Amino acid sequence: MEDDTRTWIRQRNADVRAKRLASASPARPGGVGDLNNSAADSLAETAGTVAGVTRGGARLAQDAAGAVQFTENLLDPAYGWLHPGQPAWLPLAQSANDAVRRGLSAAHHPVQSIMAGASRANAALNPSATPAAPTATGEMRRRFDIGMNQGEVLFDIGAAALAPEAMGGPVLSAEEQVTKRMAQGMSEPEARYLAEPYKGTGSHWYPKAGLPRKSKNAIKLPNWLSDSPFNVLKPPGISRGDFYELHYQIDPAMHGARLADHIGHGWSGKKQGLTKNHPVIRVVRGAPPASRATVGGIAGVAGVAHREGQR
Amino acid sequence: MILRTMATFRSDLADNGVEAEDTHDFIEWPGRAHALVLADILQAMGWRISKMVDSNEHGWELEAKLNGNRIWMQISPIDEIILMFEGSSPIWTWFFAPRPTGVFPETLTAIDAALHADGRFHDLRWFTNKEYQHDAPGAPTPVSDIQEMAGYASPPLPPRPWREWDHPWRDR
Repeated sequence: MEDDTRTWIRQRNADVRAKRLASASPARPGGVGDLNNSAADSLAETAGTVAGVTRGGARLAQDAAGAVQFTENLLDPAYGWLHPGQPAWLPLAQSANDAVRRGLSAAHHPVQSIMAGASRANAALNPSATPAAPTATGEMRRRFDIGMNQGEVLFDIGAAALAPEAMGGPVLSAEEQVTKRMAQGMSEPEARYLAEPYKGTGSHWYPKAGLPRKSKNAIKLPNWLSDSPFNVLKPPGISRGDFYELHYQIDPAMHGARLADHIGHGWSGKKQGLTKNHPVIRVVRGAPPASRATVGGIAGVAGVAHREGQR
Repeated sequence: MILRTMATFRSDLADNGVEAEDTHDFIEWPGRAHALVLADILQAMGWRISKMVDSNEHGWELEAKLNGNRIWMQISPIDEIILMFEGSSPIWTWFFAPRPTGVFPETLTAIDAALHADGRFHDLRWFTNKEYQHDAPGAPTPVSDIQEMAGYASPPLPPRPWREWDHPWRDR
């Protein structure tokens, strides 16, 4: 009798528990139901997102011999002696540019990418697109992986959004540039000279003279950083004429440039009818791609933090 | 007081820089000869030249120091010579004197006089940044009182209304 009562109570408790679980979180096919929206899963997804963003950032350094190597290079006093002409930041800057291009290829063709691999992308990024795992640990692992994919995409797109000129855009051939400049009223020698590749030092984002400029105690960057790709804008393959135009618009101290002696006169932005950009636009347009990638990565992390904070 | 920190003039001084023979790229950009002239003017006034560098398409940059004051200038020889000046004074003077402070206006006036006295330079005009960008005719001197500006092509803005936070110490 006592055993029957115990069996009945056990059975009744099991029924009540099953009913509660079913009403709190209806089971999905193949899943464990009650674990779908659990705190553990959200935590796993968040951790995955952060890990993904970190993976995106780490890839910057991994592509070029790794972050550890980069740090060692910076701290190694013999690096400059052992690698003449190659500064320590060079590998990291190159990989930052690679990351920008990777992100751009994802961000530049979002429609085609999504249409081409819609189900694959959906499965990789959307937790509801695939059935939940049969076990709790399996489900946590699945949500972690999805969060990681989301984080990495965020990093790449965030980095890419801030470096649009790395997308290339229409690049005129040398002959097309000559035609364009002659149509602007320039002589042929002048147009040909300006169509040649720009080989100068580029435009410094943070002024070499330091900021604030009016202060005797202006804060200056060390030369190794001031002249690095993180601070110097020099789009690869740009012509002299295009760079002078860009430089004139983003640098308040740039008025023009003397051209070679055989041309006989200089290039003036004001005479070309160009205007200086607004200071805010100057900061954005003048930012080198390597720095934009870094800022984009940070923005990706901030976006994730904001999204998770709203949950 | 209006302080004009840009100047343009024509020059008879040869200042062509050094070019690579094959590519015509500049090895040394033009502007050095004019930078040396300005350095001489400043040194005669007691300034110590602390930096003179080739700044590529910008031209040449010159920096000088005197008694805690600093003056920076950029010499850009394009078709005419374009000078750009920036002065700075010790940071504590920012809080105790209305700007522009220090010796900057006097220095610009002395540079103006020296360039006028040198027969190689012509058509010297002074501008604010805004005047230069908007094709204003410029002024003959770097420093002007507002009263002097009455007949000037671009009239100055009316004086800004007094605000309490401009100079809070004056009326306490």
